[in-house]
Amino acid sequence: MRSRFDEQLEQLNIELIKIGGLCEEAISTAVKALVSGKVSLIGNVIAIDRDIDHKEREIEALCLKLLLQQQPVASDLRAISAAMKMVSDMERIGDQAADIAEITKFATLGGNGSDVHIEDMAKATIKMVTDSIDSFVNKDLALARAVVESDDIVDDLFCKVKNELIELIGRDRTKGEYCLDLLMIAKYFERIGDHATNIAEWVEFSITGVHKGEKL
Amino acid sequence: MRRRLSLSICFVAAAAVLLTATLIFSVIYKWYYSDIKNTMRIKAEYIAAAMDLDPQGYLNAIGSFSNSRLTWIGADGDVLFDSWADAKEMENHADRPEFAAAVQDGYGQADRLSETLREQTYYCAVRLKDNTVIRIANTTDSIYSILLNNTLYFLLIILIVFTLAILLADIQTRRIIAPINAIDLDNPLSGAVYDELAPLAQRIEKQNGLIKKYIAKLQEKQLEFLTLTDNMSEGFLLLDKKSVILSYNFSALSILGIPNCDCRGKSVLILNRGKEFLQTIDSAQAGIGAQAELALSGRRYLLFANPVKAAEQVSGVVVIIIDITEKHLREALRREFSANVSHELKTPLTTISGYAEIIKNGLVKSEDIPRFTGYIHSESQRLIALIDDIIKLSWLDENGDDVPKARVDLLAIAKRVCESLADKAQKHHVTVSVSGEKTTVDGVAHILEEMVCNLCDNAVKYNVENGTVDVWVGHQNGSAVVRVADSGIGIPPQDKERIFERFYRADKSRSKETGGTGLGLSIVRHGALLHNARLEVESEVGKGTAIAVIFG
Repeated sequence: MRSRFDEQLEQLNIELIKIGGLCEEAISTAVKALVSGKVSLIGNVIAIDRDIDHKEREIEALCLKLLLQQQPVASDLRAISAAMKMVSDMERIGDQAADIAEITKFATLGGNGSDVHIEDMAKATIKMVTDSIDSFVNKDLALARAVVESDDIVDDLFCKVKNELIELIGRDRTKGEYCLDLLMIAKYFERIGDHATNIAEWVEFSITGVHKGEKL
Repeated sequence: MRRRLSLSICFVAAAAVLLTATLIFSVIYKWYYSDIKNTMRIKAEYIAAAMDLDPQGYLNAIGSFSNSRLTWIGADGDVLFDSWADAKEMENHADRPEFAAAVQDGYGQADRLSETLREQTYYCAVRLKDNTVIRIANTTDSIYSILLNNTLYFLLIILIVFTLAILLADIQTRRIIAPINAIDLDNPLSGAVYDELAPLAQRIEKQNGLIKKYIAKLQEKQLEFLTLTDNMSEGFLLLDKKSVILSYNFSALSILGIPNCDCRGKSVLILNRGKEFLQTIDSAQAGIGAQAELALSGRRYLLFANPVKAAEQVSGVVVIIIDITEKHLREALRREFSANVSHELKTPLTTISGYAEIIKNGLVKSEDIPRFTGYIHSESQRLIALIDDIIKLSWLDENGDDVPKARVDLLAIAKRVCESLADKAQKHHVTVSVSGEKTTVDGVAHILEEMVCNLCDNAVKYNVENGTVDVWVGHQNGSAVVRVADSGIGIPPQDKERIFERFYRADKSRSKETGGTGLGLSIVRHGALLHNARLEVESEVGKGTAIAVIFG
């Protein structure tokens, strides 16, 4: 009985790592599309997003099955409930990567003052997503906490980008639409950073039972 | 075992108790019965003796209050008197066995069970002198009745005995089992064991020896395997059919970026969750070997995944990861080189064919023909020089290692080279000087000469008006050194690394003007490699360059 349960838990773990890998791929492909302007990549991101949605439903079904059939307690219950919360964050990351890819049809990087900072944001958010999933894979509490801390970096970068874009519109009114597109992209990155933070917080919860400093 | 032992002890105890009880009971009962018989016989004989004197008087005196039943039977069997019943109503007793025996032998006895079996009546008959018979009867409880009446006591006794038996059996079992449990399985012959267990102990001892041998063998094999895999630079992973890691080597972990991870028994996903990685492994799990290129932390790896098949079923996957960064870089360099070669070869040929075409079409005035043919000549010279250099380079590429070496004097070579360059130096208004001491190294003379020549040639070409080229030959820190220093244009710092690459030119605009093939320094580098020498470049833009060849 227990061994069957363990098998299912391990499968849940594997599926979560897989969906994590898909998220990383979605966002890094989206960033590639953004930097290189290759239109062919946009389709890839959207396809990955579909895969993520599909996997999310699979994982949710698995979690519910485990909750109903095995009635887990203690750390098992924490792991499963954390998994359910994490997949919805991961699904959002996939959606936002797809959104970024959609915008790159109209606006790619090149020839304006905010390029560097948007690229920095992209790098920082990719790192956050990777680290949050790594912390889950390796049950690394320190790394999970580091991800929560590093959200501030992305937030700061977002403010910088925003100010630079305001300045750019001030200088050149014809670039208004372009600037707004870039602002949306920056906002998406900022949101992805938030989702990565959430994932890291749930990882912390599944290890310690403490979520955002509160014992649940 | 304990249960069984305890049960059998209980069973034996129960059987013993029951058997003993039955036997003792029957013996006692028999004794008791025969005692009654004796007593009654004596009593009957006393009565008979008394009756012989005066039968009626005796009966009247004693019959009504005797505790035994008294019956006086006439010789024909008619009852004359009975102490418990009315004699007249009683039937003829002639057929009673005790009566018959008494009539015949003077004494008879019999016992009869009542209809309910509860009572047993014992009859004792004695013949009197007048041939009548006096019979006394004694009714006692039957054996069945005794048993029935005392059932409760019997059950109680059985219960107590049983409880005791169980307790004793348990204690006894413990006592028997304890030494068996205490046997040291690693060393079964030591310690006090039952003699009966000695053969078993010996066999265990023997098996222990065998097991130890097998384990040692297996460990040796394992160690061999680990040494093999741990010392290979390729990453190695062995997965089962659910992609759980069974075995891995350190290289695999460091390639995949998690060097300190005890990942045995975990899913391979914790090592890498990239799409290519998973697809390759999934393909191998499906029974088809696959390979993929991975880019991990700035290096490139080739990933092979092959299925392990047992009876046509995939039972696992072997993964090998090879670092192909160098190969990748070399391939890129080679591609660049062939692109460059074709370009460099094509440029002079285009010029030659252009001028030749103009001349062929008769578009050139006859006085211009020498100039045009001059162009054609110089371009073909350039082409020849280029092809020469390419041949030298490929010769060095091919025969890098096995060229016969001899003692060579570097100073003599430097002097020879400078003499041969004197004309060119004069043309560029550059003075060339050689200094230093006689220095010999093991080497190939014509390659060394080519190297020094290329260095000096560059020093002259990339020089300024009235510049100098100083060649110094000597020893430095125990190593032979040839240093060519010029007062020329210098090399920008960012180009320092690349000047030895084929066709690389620091100053692209001057390439045409200075001539040369762009392969000179590449030949120097290859020559240095052949002589185990290293190159040191010191340069400052606008001040000059010094390139030293230091022989190891």
